[in-house]
Amino acid sequence: MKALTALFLILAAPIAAVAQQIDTLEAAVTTAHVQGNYLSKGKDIRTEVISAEGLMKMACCNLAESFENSASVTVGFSDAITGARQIRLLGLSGVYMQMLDENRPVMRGLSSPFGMTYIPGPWLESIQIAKGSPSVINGAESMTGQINLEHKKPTDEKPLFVNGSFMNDTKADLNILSSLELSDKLYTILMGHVDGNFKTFDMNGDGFADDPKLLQYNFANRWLYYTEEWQSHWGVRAIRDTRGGGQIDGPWKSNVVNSSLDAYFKLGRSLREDGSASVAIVADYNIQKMESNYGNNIYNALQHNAFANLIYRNRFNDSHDLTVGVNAMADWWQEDLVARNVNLSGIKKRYLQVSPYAEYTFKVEETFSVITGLTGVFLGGGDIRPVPRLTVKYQPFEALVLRANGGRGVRRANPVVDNFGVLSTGKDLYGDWTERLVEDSWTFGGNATVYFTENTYLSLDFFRTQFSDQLLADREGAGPNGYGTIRLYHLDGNESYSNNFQADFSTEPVERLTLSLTARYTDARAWQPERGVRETALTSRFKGVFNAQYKTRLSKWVFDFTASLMGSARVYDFMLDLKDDKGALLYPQGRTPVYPMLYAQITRRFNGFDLYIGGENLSGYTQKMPIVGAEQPFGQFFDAASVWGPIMGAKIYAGFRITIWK
Amino acid sequence: MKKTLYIILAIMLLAVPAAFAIKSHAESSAQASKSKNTVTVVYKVNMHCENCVEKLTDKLSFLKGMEDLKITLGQQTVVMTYDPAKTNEANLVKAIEKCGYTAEKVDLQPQK
Repeated sequence: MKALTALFLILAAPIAAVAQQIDTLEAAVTTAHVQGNYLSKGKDIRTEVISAEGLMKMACCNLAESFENSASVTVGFSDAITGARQIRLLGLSGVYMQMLDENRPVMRGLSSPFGMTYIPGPWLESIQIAKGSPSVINGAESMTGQINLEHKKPTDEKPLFVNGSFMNDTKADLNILSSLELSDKLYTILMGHVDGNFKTFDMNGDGFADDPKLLQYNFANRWLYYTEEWQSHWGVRAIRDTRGGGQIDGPWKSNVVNSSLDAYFKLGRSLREDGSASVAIVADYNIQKMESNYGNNIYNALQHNAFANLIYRNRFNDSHDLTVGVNAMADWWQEDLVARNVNLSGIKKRYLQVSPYAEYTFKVEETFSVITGLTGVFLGGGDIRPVPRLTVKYQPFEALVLRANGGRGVRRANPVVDNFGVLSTGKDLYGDWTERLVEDSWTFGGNATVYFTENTYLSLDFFRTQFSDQLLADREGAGPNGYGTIRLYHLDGNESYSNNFQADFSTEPVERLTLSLTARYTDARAWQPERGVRETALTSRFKGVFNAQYKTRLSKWVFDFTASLMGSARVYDFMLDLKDDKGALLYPQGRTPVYPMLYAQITRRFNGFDLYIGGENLSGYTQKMPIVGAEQPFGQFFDAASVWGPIMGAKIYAGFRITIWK
Repeated sequence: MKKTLYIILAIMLLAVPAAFAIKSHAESSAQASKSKNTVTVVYKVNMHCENCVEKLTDKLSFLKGMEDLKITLGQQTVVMTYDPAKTNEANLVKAIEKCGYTAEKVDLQPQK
């Protein structure tokens, strides 16, 4: 059994999985104490966990909507047309964070603009948000942190789980899951999802649909086979998503069709009876296709991506643990981009990077641990970048946990998908939109968590990310046509950084009532040609989140309320002169207003059946004029990519869950 | 105007079941305290993961006569408070075993 457990751990990346198992135990101290969001006590790196219960707090149609209770992650729209979501971690774009699916890198490149909406919330068991420089085992692409998604398991003993919800804006989704035991060694889970938005509205009267009509089909099948010595996971997933937005009556339209197919395989073998040594291989292949247009702009792309990781782990004793291996990642791209001043057709590029790595862990019981990792990223053409990472955790006594963490991150930029919103503008594009610059950064930080009681803690943390090279899009440069240009540029050794402070407080003042309060402050700045180092536009300075949840005895009723306050952000220079209907400046201070968001949900549990109703953005706050130049959509100053707040007002939803246990 | 209507509708939608739940909860609490005839038992159960906790919670919460339930994964214990007029220990053990687990009774320490 020990060998089997060890095998499971190596397949899920050793360090993360060990810590996660500790967390699973501590999280479920009693059923009453399982919180939606909580900070992990056992993990070496500062990690926020959103449990299955936390995922139920929102309508949670998809992953993008799962972070509303989190101040660490901020979710916004890339533009006001397509519904593409972008997240921010440590004040920087989500592309600088590594997304993992059970410790396999996913949502890279072409799948990043819409990928967040392709992970249905009901498919997930938990989400772990790790800040800083995590393990090198899955490569060096993580710069600000990692988000690991744990899906529901083939061994879940639920032959049928059905979840459906409907929103007042005609958005509906349906999920059907079935986990089956085919023998005592072979298990499978089938996951199906369909969602759609059948009608669009123009509540702000700008002539454009506030959200696109869409229809998404999503299917996955995952398998598990294990014996005492061997363990294997494999699975496939297919997605088809079509969405249409733009002017309701006018000629400016946008249509996006995404298709993807993904297959993965993991195999692990225990080399010793006590499970102290093991070897595993992880392989993943993904093909993603996007066909899209935005007014006169066209972007069509095809990406093949392959990933493989060979891992050997040897735990010498309780104090010394060594993991060595090599991972490789290959990308094949084909792109067509037609926009003002750009006409690129059939651009084909291939990239291969190989990263041998070693990670050594020294541990003194539960008191002290040091993880040192080193990987060399071979990027081709003689470009080799050593990536060191270090994590230290010290728990001098039960009530105090101290963590420090730092390291380097390296990734290839994707000019179009990293700046996806530029497609929803009419601006001249300058620079090389096919160049995939290797971006390079260092992140350092620390965390201190004080536990006053078992369920009351205060956590403080600080992280700083600093780039030595970065590919940026300058949307504020006065080109030949004033603000009607977007120009790509390299940082070239100039300054670009983000400092983040965060405080989290959580408590359970009376039985079954949990309260949490989180506040985050961000100072993100980057150098711009001729204008020097400036605050990053549309990045809110602070975010505060308050959450209260109360359950009646036996959790038959669950009440949940979340209020968040989003701080102001600098607006782009071209937004400074924008005026409202009455002729008053929209941004007289050059900054977005501070605004609240309110969420509420009530769940009634019956035997095998849950009913819930809820509301999102209950204060009804919306951004005024989310599209700049909406009256001239084919003009050069048209810009639908300056979104900083909600586009839709208050929403009401209702849903149900049916669970049949084995 | 539409926004205001949405907010009022939202508050109404949330307030009605909330009031109903609070009333129902108050009634059940009053009933429980009025009768005060409940028994608490502790069982050691061979569960090993959060899914086991979820399964036991779902299955045991809706047993007839169940008044309160606390499941501790770390200690592998299930603490059940039940109304002896409506069920008995044999039924509780049977329900745990039906979920695929073994249940071994743990003696409660007498309170000093």
